[in-house]
Amino acid sequence: MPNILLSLQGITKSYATKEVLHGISLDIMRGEIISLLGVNGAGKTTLSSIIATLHPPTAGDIIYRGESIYRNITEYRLKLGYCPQAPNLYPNLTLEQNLLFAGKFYGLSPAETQPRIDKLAQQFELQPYLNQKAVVLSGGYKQRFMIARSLIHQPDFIILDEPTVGLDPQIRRQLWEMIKDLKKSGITILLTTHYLDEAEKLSDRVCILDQGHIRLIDTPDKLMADFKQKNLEDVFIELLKAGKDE
Amino acid sequence: MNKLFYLNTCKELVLADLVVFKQSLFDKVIDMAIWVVLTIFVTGYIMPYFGLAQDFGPFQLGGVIAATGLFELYTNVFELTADLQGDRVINYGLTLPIPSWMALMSKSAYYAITYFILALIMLPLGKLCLWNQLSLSNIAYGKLLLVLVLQSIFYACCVLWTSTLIANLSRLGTIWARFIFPMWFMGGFQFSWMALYHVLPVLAYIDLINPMIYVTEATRTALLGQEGYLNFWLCCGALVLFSVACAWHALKRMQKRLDFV
Repeated sequence: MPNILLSLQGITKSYATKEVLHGISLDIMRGEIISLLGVNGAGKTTLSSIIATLHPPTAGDIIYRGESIYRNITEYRLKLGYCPQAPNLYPNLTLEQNLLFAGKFYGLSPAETQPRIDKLAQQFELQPYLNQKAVVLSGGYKQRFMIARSLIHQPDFIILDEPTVGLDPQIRRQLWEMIKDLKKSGITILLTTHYLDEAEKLSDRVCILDQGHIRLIDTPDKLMADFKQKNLEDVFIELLKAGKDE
Repeated sequence: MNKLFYLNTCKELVLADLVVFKQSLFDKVIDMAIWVVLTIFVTGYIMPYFGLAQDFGPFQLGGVIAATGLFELYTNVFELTADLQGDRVINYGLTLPIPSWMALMSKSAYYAITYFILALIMLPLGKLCLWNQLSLSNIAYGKLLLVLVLQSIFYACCVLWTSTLIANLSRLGTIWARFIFPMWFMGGFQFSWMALYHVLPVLAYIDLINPMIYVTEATRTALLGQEGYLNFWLCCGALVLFSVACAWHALKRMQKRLDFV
């Protein structure tokens, strides 16, 4: 299908004797926001870090533009932006230095990077902090910066791993607006979260993971209609109950 | 994607780390200077009154230059272990458009450059302390540069390897007690291999598995001449072999630890 950006085919991940992902197959459509939902330990971060090429799958493949990403992983990484849960920035560099180096890591010259820094700083309201060291930023601004950094090389799609975890409700809502703006600009977004309201507000589709299996993939509206619930949180609770009863 | 692109990205990774290093360079030099000045002062001026050879100061300077990287290695193992336990800044490199092993080698290259800079600073500091006891005209500068490069690369590879030996920071003391201290204390910091051979030949042969002995012997050869030390080129060859083995094993262990692609 021409609209598929990324196709996960039977992704399995094992650590020692424990299998944490069991043959996950999932298509990610171009331009959508798809959320990975699940309780702690469901396999969200493991799956997103495999898609981010941080870890290899034990079995299975990921197809990007008709080809396995493992055939030319560096080309794939050029098209990918990854924003991990823990902010892994250079704490003793200023935000501007962090962004300039991020551009250089992707082969961009300072002349190419600077306009992007200006644009991203404006988009994520980072201008007042550009000359400050990253270590002094608050959690919310660190997270904004992390998203900005993942966009510096203009990727096709980005992975946001729990981008609003631990943030104040007001900051979370500001970040939601920023994520919606990213979607409007055509970027495909994979969002992992355990905030169900966040998934409901932002996602075109949600994928509910449970103990390394996909339980459901659909639009939030369709899930709420099927389960006759008013919000995604109630759907999720129903689903977990059903899982326990099985 | 061509190799030039990869090398450029690696270069930028090293430069980013060096910008951070530059911020702490002054403090590091002060720390090192205290260590060098006190060590040279005691061994060069006080210990001869207790019967130590008059030229022990310059001899000790060779040990100090050789051990600079080893002590800095301990700091870097601490930082790397803390990172692996915490925010994992190292993971950022593993998602960049270069092969993952290159991101780790870039880290090693950064360590090597910092060790080289710090070891290089030890020479003028040592000269200031020893003054007439050290003749700059007798130093084989080409050899000195070569051994500084080789020892810096070796210690840099050692950081990655050593970091894989411990699971968390609470085990850092083990690294000091079981690895760095024996390597340093039996690495010829205060004696030459020949001296050890004359006293305990068996131990001297066993000590040949200690890479630091090659660093100290080669450094002293460059500073003071070949006589009384292991062959300089043998030492260089041994350091190359140790570096390759260390880097290879470190990458294998890091792959297991970080589970990178």
